[in-house]
Amino acid sequence: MNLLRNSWKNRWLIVMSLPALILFIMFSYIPMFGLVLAFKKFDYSKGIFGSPWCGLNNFRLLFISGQTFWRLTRNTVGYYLLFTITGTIGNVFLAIGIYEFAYKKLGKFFQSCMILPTFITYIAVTFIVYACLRTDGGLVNRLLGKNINWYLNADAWPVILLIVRTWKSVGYGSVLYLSVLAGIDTQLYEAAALDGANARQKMWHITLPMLLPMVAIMTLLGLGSIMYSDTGLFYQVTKNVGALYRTTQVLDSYVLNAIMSSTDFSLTSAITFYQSVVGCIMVVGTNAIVRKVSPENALF
Amino acid sequence: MRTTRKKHITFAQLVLGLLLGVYAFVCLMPLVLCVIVSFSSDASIQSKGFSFFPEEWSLQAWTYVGSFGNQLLTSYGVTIFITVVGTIFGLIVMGTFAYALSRQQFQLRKAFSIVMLIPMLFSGGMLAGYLVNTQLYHLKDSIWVLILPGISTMYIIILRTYIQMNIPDSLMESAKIDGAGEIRTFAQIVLPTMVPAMASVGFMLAVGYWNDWNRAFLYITSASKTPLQLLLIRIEKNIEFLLQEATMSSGLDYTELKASLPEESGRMAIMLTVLGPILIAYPFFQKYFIQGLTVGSVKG
Repeated sequence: MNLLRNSWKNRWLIVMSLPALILFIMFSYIPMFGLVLAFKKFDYSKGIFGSPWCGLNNFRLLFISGQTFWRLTRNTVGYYLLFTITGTIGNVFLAIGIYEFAYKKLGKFFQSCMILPTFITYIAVTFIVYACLRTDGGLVNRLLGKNINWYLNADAWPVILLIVRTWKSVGYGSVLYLSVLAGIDTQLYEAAALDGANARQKMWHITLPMLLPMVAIMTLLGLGSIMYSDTGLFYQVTKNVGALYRTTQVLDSYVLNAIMSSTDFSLTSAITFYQSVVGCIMVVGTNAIVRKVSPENALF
Repeated sequence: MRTTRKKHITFAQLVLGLLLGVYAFVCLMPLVLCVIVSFSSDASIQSKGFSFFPEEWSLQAWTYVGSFGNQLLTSYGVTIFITVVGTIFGLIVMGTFAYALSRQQFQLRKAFSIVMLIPMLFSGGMLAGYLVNTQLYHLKDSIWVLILPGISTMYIIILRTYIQMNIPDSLMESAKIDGAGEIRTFAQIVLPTMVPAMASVGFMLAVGYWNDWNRAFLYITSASKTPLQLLLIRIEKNIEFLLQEATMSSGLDYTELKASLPEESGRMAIMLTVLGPILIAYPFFQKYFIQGLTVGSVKG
């Protein structure tokens, strides 16, 4: 009753919320119900909700496919770990480097150059990577004096993707850590200098410990997206070449490929269901940890 | 210590400056390569491959961009339309929603916050989203599918936090006592105060819309609705996509055009015309991105 009266009093606030709520329902909530597709035999003419049920048959296919399922999981989680570890180290090192650099104007300019790749889409990156890697006349082959067909050489791609991803994201990633460093009270350094601390000791006992909470929180919050990857990197930059699937295909690029080639959705629907459920467990789990460690950074 | 550093260049500073400079240079290199390739003649690319020092310079690629600019212009129009409309639409929808969520006396705000947060935990995934959008809403090949789903929980949290931290509730209450309705309070008192936050979110939204390729790739089929990023994907596979449009509309001879087409340099030239606006605007919007990132890390 109280709530009703309060809502009537604030009816204009409800009106102002409606557009956002409608969009959330249309594009977030209704697709959630679409996940029931994992338990159905999809029939294009009948749509998601009209298709007949098929129990756990799609999941049976998923486990029969063994190879695909494990490969996708291994690649998704593997790249996630690789990128998180290298990315965090790169971000922190770069932030400290820029912070310690005494020529601030020049440092700002360098930083701008490093952030720029963030705004170049992976579509354009695909062009650049191709110019570097194509078999005849590619930049890398010319430098090595060889004729390697990189787009058939699956073993090289973890390194290639790591380089591309580092180039694109480390500059922007360091901004957050830089803002933490800028917030450190300089008196701490002065006090340490008075006590006779050298540069390395100051780094080890002041700078790094100050960065640690942010590193921990960013890592924990990032864990929630462990099942999701950037299809720009894994689908576009690899040109979706089948010969590279062994080391480059992740869950998201598999699903995108299945939609674009309109293959049978039985297996794909089971994969997206698996992805959503594990993703949800990871978000809720990591948030519980963040709330324990540092409540003000928890999402909810 | 910090002050003594500025007086004379220490060895450590020199090394640090060199390292940062080299990394900044590496970040820019790929773009420089693209510019050089776009000004190289196709013959020199054929014989010598992609190179920073081509044998022969040429403006051929850029004259081509001009001559079959029809599709490019159309795509520019589409991208500008979705960026402008999407950003304005997104700011209005998310701004009003954030305002409603920030009002302490509004009891439904708890429930509305939950509606906003759940999509961060759980999502229907790409496949369900695709099927719902195409089969339920019939948005296949509709330009609205590129605009409507752009709402983001993260941006709403940024805006709400900003209102809570910068605009005292008493100010809004006093406006109400003076007889202003909620919409008027929002438009005349809250909106002018939240300009910095709106600018940050607006720039992030705009770059997001400009660079979005995923949705266009999934949904758009007709040439007249092809935004720039999708155009790049198309010509990455086959540059003749542009020729077909040009010959259809202008009556030029297809085979003749195709024979004289500078394929490699042409691709790069088109890629650069697509990246152009972002690269030019980048120095101006960079600071809003840094602001957005640091505001976003503060939770309300």
